[in-house]
Amino acid sequence: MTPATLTSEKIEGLFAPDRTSGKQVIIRAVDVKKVYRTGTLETHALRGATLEIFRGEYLSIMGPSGSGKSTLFNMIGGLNKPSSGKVYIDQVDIAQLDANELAWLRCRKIGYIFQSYNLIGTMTCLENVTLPMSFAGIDGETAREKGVGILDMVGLGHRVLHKPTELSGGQQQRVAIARALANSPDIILADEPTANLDQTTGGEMIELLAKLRDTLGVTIISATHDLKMLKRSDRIMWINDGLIERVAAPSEIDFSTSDFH
Amino acid sequence: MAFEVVLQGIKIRLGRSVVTMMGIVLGVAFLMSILSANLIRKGVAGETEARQEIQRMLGFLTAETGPLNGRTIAVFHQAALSDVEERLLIALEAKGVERITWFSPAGTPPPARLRKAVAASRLEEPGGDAAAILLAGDFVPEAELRSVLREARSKVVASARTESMANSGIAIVSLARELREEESVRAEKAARRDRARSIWIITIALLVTIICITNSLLMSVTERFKEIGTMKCLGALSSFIRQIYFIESSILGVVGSLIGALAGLVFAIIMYGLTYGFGLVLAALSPSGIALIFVISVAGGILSAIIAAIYPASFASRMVPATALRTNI
Repeated sequence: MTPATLTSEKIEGLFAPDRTSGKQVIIRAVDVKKVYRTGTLETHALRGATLEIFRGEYLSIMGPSGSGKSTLFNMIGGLNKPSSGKVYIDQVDIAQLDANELAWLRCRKIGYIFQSYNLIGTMTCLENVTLPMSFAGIDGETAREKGVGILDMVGLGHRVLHKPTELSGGQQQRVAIARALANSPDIILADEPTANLDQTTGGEMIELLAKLRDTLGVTIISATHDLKMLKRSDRIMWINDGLIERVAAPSEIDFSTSDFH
Repeated sequence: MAFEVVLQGIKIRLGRSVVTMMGIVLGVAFLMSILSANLIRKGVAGETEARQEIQRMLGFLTAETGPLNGRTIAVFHQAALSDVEERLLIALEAKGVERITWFSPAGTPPPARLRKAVAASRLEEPGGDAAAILLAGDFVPEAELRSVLREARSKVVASARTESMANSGIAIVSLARELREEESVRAEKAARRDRARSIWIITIALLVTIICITNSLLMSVTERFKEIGTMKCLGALSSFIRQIYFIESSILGVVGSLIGALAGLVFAIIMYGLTYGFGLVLAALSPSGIALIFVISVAGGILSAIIAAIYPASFASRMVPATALRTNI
């Protein structure tokens, strides 16, 4: 299974990438705090995180469980609102958005990739990919055409009418990536995308994501512990105990330390 | 779009959908059987009473005229013919009456069911050789008719109705029976009690149905937690998620109600048919009555299904999309 070659006109036909020169901030978080209340117990999941994510960047977020990594991840993805502080996605303060506007944001700005793929089992691969398009109000015929194009791009052009259960894990994750790309998002949010895959398939997935970043200019943010993925990313962010501990490029990091084993 | 999602969902979870639908089928079948039982009981009671009434009228009439075999009966008909009057005439034919001479100033022909009726254009010779003149329909005899009837001295003049004929000044044998007041009060009271009991039972049945559907839809929500969360992550609006549950419930409601209403009707007919005989039960059921209770039952079933979907639908739509990211669900 190798990723299909990407021809430039195929991409141009599918997407209209916004290639702005220089470093443009796409996500900005300012002193974000999140408190969960269960009864009288307060849990401070985030205790003041400030960060900037640039357009077209490949960012990996690391952190032990309970570090606040998922909370930060959800907030960047517009899935949750902060208790205090601001999160701007493409210059929009998500705290100002109501449920429908958040849905609009998730639909068009962000593509999600899940650890366990989360494909809808009752639908074919193509229907899975066209589902977000139907949420965006794209008519069936256009959506199907575009969906076939994207599936072809991720190397599944020959499997469009299969059900997800008929595919291997790697193929399912490819469908999920195609689905994330459905509405030409600016950001792709990947939650441990290689955790359920073997080394080789995981590597292919990382290459596919890197390729999409290079050709389409999408920003890729992933929560991961996969060494290959960390090495491939532009920056790595450590979260610990509700705070951002360190941000560094892979070249500055010694991957042989015990942190990575 | 939501419709396709629902259809695929039902197809995949066919077993559970059928179980949910069985709940609706049972509820509506129960509702329908109660309604049709009421209809049958009322119809059978009315039918039995009508049959007794006709027998009694025949008795009255033959007491005046003697045996009717081979004789002629004259009928003066004006205004609307009641069901009992028509059946009385049919019963007379069955008794062996040779001929029914039919006079109708308005020119209304005798009912097709009367095989021995012959239309006469004028009431010339009062009743001719008829054994009796039967006044049919609800009217006050006019002067001309009154004199004609008075001339028919030897003939028996009879009517199934009393109200309008009472002050006509002619000796009319009344075949109708006057219902005593206490009797009608008692009948009314019994009907009221019956209605209250039916409403109570029907309410309980529908509540049970609603709870059954709600429970089953809630199960479907928990089963699809990840799917719903994923759809929300992909940009589905809460209204889309609500739609899914309302459509699913409505589909199950429509199909289940139709099956249930049919089953309930058949059940009621069989049960009462075994007690009263199928002929009487089927005669007691009027098509318009069946149509009405059928519509009521199906509407009740669909409405229950939609009411039952309110809570599961809002529960599902309020779900946090981040749930989909949690992999252990």
